[in-house]
Amino acid sequence: MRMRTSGYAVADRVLALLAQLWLPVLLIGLWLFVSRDSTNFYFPPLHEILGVLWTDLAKGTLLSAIAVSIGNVAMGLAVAIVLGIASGLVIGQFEGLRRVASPTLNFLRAVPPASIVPIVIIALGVGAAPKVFVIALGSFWPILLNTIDGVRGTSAAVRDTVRAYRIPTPLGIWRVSLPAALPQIMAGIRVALAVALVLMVISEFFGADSGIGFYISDGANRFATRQTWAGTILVGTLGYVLSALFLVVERRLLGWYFQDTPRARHRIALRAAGREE
Amino acid sequence: MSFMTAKIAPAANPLVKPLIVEGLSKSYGTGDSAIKVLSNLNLRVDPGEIISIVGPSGAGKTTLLRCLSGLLAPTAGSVHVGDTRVSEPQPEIGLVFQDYRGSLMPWMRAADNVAFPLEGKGVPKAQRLERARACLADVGLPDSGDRYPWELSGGMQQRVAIARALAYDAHILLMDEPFGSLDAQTRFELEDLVMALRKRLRISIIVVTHDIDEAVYLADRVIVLSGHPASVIDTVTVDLGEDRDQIKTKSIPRFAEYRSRILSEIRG
Repeated sequence: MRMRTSGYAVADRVLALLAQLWLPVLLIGLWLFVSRDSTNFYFPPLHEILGVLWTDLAKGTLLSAIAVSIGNVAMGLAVAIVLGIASGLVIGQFEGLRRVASPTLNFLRAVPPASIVPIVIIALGVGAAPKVFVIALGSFWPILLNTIDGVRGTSAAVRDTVRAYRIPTPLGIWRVSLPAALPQIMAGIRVALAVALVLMVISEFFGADSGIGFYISDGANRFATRQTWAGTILVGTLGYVLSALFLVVERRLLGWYFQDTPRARHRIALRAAGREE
Repeated sequence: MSFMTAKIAPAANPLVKPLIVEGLSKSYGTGDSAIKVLSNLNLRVDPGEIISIVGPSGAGKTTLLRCLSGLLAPTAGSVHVGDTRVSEPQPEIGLVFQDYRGSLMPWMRAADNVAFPLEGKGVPKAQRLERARACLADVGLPDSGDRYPWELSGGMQQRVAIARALAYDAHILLMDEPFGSLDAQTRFELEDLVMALRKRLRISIIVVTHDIDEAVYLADRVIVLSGHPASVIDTVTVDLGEDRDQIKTKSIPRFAEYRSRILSEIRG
C-alpha cells in the first residue's frame, strides 16, 4: 500500500516536471531545426553556437570568466543585502524617519542603475571594484524599499504584543521586525538578483578584460557572433540557475511563512498516503 | 464586598497589587471632531479577583482594556497598579489578545513565543526556556513547545498566549475577548483554565467579553458598560462561590437572574 502510494507520488512528480519541460525542449528543438543550415552571419546555427560554448568551457577560459562574474555578483549582492536590510529595518521602524526619507529614496530608485555604469567606471577605474559597486548600488534599492514596506506591514497585534511585553527596541527589530518583514525582503532580493545580473553583464562591457559580459562584447567586437550568442545563452542559463537556487534558500528561510517545516511536510506526506498522524 | 475579601484573604498572593481606575475618560481626536468613547470610569480590582467587563459592541470595552494596559493614554483620569501610575505598559501586566493568530509570532515555536518577553527582561536562555516549558505545562500544553503556532488549534494558540503572560510573571492578566472566536467546547475548557489559574496563583484577571454567560460564569464581579460615551451602569457581584462548574453553576437559578439582569441593562 505504502509502496504503491509513494510510487504514484513519484509518477506525479515526473508528470509535473514533463508538463513544465516540454515547452522549452520544443523551442530549443525548433531553434536547432530552423537554424541548422543558416548562413546568416548574425544568426548562426544553434549547434555551432553550442559547439563554441562547449569548446570555450572545456578550454577553461569561459570557466574563469564565469567565476569572475559570479564573484562580482556575489560581492555586490552581499553588500546590497546587508546594507539594504540594515537601513530598511531602521527606516521602517521609525515613522518620522521614513516620512523624511521616502521622497528621496523614491527619486534615487527611479534612476536606472545602468545609466550610472560609465561614470562609475571612470571614477573607480577598471578591475572588480566599479563592477561590485554598480551591482551593489542597483540591487540596494529593491531590497531597501521592500524591507521598509515589510517592517511597516507588521500586524497591529504583533506591534501591540511587542509594546505590551516591553520588548526593547533592538531586540524587537532583530527578533520581530526582521522576521516579520522577511517574506517581503526575500521578494526584494529576488528582484535585486535580476537587476544584479543585468548590471553584471553591462558593467563588464566597459573597461573589462574578464567576465561573461566581456566574453560577449569581445565576441561582438571581433565579429565572432557564435561567441556572442554563446555568452548570451550562458547568461540566461546562469540567471535561471541562480533564481532556482534562490527559491531553495527562500523556502528554507521562510518555512514558517509557507508553513513548510519538516514536521509539516511529514504530516502532509502522511495525509497524502491516507493515514492520520 | 466583605464576603469576597474574606474568601481571598487566606491565600492572597502578596505580590499582586490592586488595579485602581479613577475618573478615566478617553476621546479619539481633538476639537469639535473628537469622539468621546469612555466617560468618567471608576473601578477597583482587588488582588486575586476576576472581573468581567461586558457591554454592547462599540461600547469601548477594548479601549478601556488598552488604557488599563498602558498601550493607550487616557484623555483624563488615571490608572494605577498599587502606587505606580500606568503611563506605559507595566511589568506586572500581561495581555491576552482576541487575535491570537496575530499576537503569537508565527516564526517562533510555541516555547520561544512564551520565552520571548523574558529575553527582553534579560533572563538567560536556559532559564527562560525552562520557565516557558513550565508555563506551557501549566496551561495544559506540556508537549507542544516545539510546535509552530500554525501547527496548533485556535484553543491551543490561546493557551500559548496565556502561558506567555504567566511566564512574564504577570500579576494582572488583561484578556480582550480571548475566547470569542473559539468553539463552545474549547471556550468552556479555557474558561475553567482561567479560573484554575486564579485559584492557584491568586492573580487578578480582567476579561472583556460580549458573552454574558461567560461574563457571569467567570467573574466575581461583572462591570456593565453602556452608553455613548460609555460609563459603568452597573456592577454585579456574582455570589456563586469560587469553584464553578459549566453545567451545575449555569443551572443555578441565581446564575439566570444575573444573566437576565445584565442582558436587560445592555439592551435597555
